[in-house]
Amino acid sequence: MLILSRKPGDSLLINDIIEVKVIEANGDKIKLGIDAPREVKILRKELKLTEESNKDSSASATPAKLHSMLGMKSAEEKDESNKI
Amino acid sequence: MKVLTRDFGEVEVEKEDIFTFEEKIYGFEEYSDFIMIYDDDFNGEYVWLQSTEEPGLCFIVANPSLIPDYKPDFKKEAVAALGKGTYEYWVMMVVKDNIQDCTVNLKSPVIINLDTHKGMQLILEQDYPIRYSLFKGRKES
Repeated sequence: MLILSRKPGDSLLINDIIEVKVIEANGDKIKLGIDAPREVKILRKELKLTEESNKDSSASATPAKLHSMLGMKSAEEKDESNKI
Repeated sequence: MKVLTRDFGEVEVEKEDIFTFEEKIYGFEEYSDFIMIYDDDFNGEYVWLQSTEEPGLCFIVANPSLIPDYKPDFKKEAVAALGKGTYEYWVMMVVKDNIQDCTVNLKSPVIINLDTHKGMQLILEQDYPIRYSLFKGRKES
């Protein structure tokens, strides 16, 4: 990761077409301005990570998987062992 | 009304059981209506957030009481979006084959208003992890 120091009012130019400007710094909050072509997607990172985590959650969301992970018997296994 | 689900068969629900997520769940913006399905095996520790619109869409959410020192600050944003009322919050869980790889999202809890029947997923200002190991160091049973 490239690490730089910038003051409010300073800018970065990415690939000659994306500009990131430090608008103001207030305590632990920094206001950034981003100028980029419309097709460049700009997202808060935690939004993207939340999306990915949600997708992983839905993909793994079966009772069988949860039973298995917790080392519990699933309903089917209980039925089977009750039959013995 | 009956809701068809992939994992729980046909479930009978009342209108009040349905939570509307006008603010949507990130990555699943086409879906807005969900119900909470409780499985007695899990004692309210793990609950299913099931879509009423898509039988195959379901999330596992964990009870935040399972996480020590977890104090999400969401009241202001929640009341603004979902109204006043009694609130419950849950964390999205990712289940893995190995219990030590299982994680919960503490940064973006699922918040539901039990009175207005509305829900949302809120990304907190606080610095909590998106993939917190729920069972750190716990051996497989």
